[in-house]
Amino acid sequence: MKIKTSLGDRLFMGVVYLIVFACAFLCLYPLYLVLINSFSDPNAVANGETFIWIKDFTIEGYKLAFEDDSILRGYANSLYYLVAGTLLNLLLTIPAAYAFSKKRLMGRSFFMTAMVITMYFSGGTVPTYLVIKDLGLLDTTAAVLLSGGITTTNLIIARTFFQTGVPQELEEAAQIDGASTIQVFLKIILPLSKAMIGVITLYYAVARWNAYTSSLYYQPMNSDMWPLQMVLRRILLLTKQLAGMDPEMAEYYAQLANQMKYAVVVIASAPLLIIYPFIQKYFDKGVMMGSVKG
Amino acid sequence: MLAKRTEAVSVKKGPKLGWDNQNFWVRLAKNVKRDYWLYLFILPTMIWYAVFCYAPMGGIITAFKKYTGFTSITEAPWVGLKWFEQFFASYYSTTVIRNTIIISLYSLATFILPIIFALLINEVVHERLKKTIQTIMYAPHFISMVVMVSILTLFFNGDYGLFNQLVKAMGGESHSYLTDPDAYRHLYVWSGVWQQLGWNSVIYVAALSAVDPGLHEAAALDGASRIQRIVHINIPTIMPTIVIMLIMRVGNIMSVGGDKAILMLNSLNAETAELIATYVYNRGLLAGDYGVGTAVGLFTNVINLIMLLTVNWISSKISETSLL
Repeated sequence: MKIKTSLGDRLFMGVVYLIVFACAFLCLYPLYLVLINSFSDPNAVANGETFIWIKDFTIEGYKLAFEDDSILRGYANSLYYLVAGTLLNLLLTIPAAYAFSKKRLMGRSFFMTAMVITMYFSGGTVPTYLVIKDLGLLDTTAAVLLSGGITTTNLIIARTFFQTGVPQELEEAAQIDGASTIQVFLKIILPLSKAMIGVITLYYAVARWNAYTSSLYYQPMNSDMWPLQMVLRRILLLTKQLAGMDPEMAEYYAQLANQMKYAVVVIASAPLLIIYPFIQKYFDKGVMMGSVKG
Repeated sequence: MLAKRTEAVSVKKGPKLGWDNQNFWVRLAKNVKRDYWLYLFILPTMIWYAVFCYAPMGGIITAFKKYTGFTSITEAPWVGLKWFEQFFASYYSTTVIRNTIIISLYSLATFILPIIFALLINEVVHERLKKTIQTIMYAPHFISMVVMVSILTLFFNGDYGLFNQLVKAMGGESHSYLTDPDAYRHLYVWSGVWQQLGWNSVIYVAALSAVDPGLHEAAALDGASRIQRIVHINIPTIMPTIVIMLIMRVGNIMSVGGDKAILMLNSLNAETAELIATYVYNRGLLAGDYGVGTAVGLFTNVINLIMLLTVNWISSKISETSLL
């Protein structure tokens, strides 16, 4: 059916498109600027000649970045936290979420309440730090992996999915055939939950890759095991503070920062920015799952 | 095996055989024996919550003790409200609390932007264009905080910042925004808007997909303009979502994210950039003043909780939408 659009409506749509396009442009342009500057000669960048396209193409910044041991190590460490951390997240989240979807689990509402409370009330930064210190985990990678163990929202998303998205009849049929809970979970439930697990994995992986406070708080001295984000922080943001400490090192870092700062930003962001459009279709699902609380 | 299982379930569900008729521990033992896998599934998770969420809550007593880190917290002597008094008596307590509240309210004022954006993008009928623009708008969300603040540096640095070069090219003067206390709040809030506008709108876009197209057709036939339809159909539909998001937002009024504030703080902009979160980090962790750090954290948490409960209560009175 076709409804004749009035002049006012067409005018309004014009404004809508204008605003929406302006938003998209404003979102993308800073990222685009970083990208073209990373491939431009530092002098051209300093002269403000690189607002539209690359000027005096160079990959010197990337070369320097990849020659820097701390960046490479940071990259490797970040990959480690990404893989090991996300795996730990899933192990702590998915089976428990499945168990909590079962009404026959005793103490279910008690445990769920206990978990939801942590979303609104926590011990705070210092007591959490003290617990990790008392466990002897300071300056270990375990502190980073464990402290980011569970995000309660993700657990609730997963539980809601198990409650509503998996047909009960299938489980019952399998149990009649003599399958145990673990068999049902591994062979029937998990394969049916790929989309949800995809969403949760994505949420956790993004958080793991971008995390820096866990290292800042819990492994400030263990710089060999710093993730890329901590290394970036030292290179890109701490040059001024270094000046007071060791002139030679400070000079070195300042020089380094000037030559490769754009390249480093690109290197650090590229993996997620390249991957996310392909898994974007899961986001909406994740949001829908998260919004159905119960 | 199955017969036993269903029997147990029906016993549990049966209204007459509840709590009272069976001893709790006997029931638990039966339950665990039947569903030991389920209990194994939740065990590591519960241990994690106990250690990383509830043990720190117990650690809140540090706020009332003289704990130096050498003996255990339980052995440390009580000091009453000393750390609270010390914090509130110091001149920076007003500064950090005021800074935190101002930046929080400023951020809160931008709460409406993702809603407006969702309402606008929802009007775009061309499905592929809509998806493309949404994809573009998500991009900044995937940038880490360190990179975000680095980009701010690259753009707004007084010497080489791109924004300053643009200003200079137009005949203006360059200005070091990152060390300027007056610029701090704008940089903080608007970089946050830039980063999260698209992402935060997802939930409203999802809620808008629940609008009945028939309503729009009927309203259009009755001569309602697009704006009228948005105001009278779309906004009421997503109102519960808006209220829930608002409650959760207000419940965090005092906990402005430390991750960004720590990165943006420097000695020159501290006047506006020192927030509760940065103070807790600097004083509590770096300086090892555990008592004060815990006390300030507790104060923040309690205010947050009070705000959350208040707003939730008001909302449940007015709109019958509530979180808890």
